[in-house]
Amino acid sequence: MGRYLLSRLLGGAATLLAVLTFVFLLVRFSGDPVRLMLPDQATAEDVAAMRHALGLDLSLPVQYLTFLQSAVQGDLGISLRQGRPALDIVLERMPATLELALISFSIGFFIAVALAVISEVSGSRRLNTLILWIATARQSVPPFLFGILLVLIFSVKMNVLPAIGRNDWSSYVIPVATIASFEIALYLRLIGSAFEEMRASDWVRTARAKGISRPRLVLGHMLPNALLPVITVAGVNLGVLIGGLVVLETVFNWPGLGRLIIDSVSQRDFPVVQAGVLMIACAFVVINLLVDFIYAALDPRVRHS
Amino acid sequence: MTATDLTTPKRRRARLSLSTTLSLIMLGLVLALAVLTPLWPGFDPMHQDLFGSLGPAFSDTAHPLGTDALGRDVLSRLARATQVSLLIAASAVAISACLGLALGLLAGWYRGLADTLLMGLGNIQLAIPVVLLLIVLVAALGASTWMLVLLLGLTNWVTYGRLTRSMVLSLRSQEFVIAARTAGATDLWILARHLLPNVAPKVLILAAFDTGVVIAIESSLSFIGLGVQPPTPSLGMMISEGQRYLQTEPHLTILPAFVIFCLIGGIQFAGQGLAAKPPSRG
Repeated sequence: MGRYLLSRLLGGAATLLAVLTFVFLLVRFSGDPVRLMLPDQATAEDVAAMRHALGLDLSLPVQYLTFLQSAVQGDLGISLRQGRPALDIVLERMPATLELALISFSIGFFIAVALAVISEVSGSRRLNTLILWIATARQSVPPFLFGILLVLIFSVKMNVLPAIGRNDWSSYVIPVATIASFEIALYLRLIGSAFEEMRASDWVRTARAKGISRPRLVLGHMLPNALLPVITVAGVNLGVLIGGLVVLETVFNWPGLGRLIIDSVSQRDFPVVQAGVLMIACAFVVINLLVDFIYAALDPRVRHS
Repeated sequence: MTATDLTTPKRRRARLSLSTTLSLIMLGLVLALAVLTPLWPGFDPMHQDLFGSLGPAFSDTAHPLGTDALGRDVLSRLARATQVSLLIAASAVAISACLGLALGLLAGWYRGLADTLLMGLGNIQLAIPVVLLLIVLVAALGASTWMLVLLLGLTNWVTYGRLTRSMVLSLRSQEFVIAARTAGATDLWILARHLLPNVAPKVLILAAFDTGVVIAIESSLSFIGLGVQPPTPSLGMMISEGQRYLQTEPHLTILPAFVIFCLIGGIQFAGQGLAAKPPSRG
């Protein structure tokens, strides 16, 4: 198990190095930042002085090493628009995004497990099919579109919930419902198909032959087994969740990291984009490491290998 | 039914499941919109008529679904946007499927360094959510329809690569492959004649489902203005334009939303129909 965790740690570190390289190259290929920072009437000498001050007149490998060195120290450059450290700007926006992601994920995951268990305990084929239909229909609507439709119904037509912003609890309802419903559909299908497979297995038949009650069979035996693969998917799915959030924050005018990145993209403020992408990749790598550790702790096959 | 079965056993009709039927209806609607609407004489997705802007739906035969803020015909724009979405998704999926197939074959057959490098690259790419990766790349390289196709294709190969690789890994030790090697077949021959035909069907199925995912990503990008660029209409862009008139002209948002739902849902429900067990019959 020690070797397994060590290899995962090294993999995570390699991924972060690769992402750092990617954001470095990205900024180099996105045009000359000096032209964006200086006014239009700047002379050639001004440009040269600025390039020298920013270290842009050095060779590419030297620039790369300098970039890595300062990135490790937490220095990801200065925002071209706000003149403040890019990392500070990104960190300020982080809580709003994390909050939305965590609340929606927890609610969605809990409801999905509850619905899957209820449907399995009831043993009703009809309920099972109905839930599957709703989940598939929900998955057929991209998150940004579902959000707009909720706004249309609950803000424009019924006027009961605010459409945009992040103020009191009511402004959370539509964004959270949008993301949570997507998570519900995803995990419901995953757990449902895991149950489906188990239903035909020998050990479930044996348990039932011994006269175990249905709730005990589902909660005590089937659910723990179904959750194991779900944990792995949850780690990868987080990437999808954050990707969706980037677009959704624009829809709801949510002051999070995603909106910051999109705003910075349109203002060509690349140090902020760089810091934002790096931060998301970091979060993704850390969460997947945690998932690997949890998996190793739960699954005896991995633990003893 | 039983009587007909007994008399003409060969003409027993396969019954379509409810989800398959629904999927066929949804995809049929979308295809009819994309293929038949351009034949209609009033078809013109570009013509602007600022005096006839925001015309209501179902009231004017010249504009059956009304007009948008610039007085352009909504039906024509919907049809063109559907064509654009389908074209982009199909081309992008073709690129990523071919790329993933080729790289997966190489990684699975030659193993070693090629395998480690390719799969490592795939893992690293997954650390940045695809939508975010695309946003950043489009921002740095510039937005255009063909750039979008290229980037969507290049960022989506990992799933195909992994599927192909894992299939090749299990195929390479099977007898027909070993027999071919013993008979002196070259690597290229084995890859093209023995492995590719075995891998291709599953890759095609994955590609069909992936098309729905790509359509969702493309419409999200076009919605935030980093996908298809005006004047070419796209479903995501129509929704972001329509959003401004959500209060008074909700159909400008609902119509393209419905087309997206039919496109993605048609594929999703087909998958559900395939996964469900066929109705048991004797």
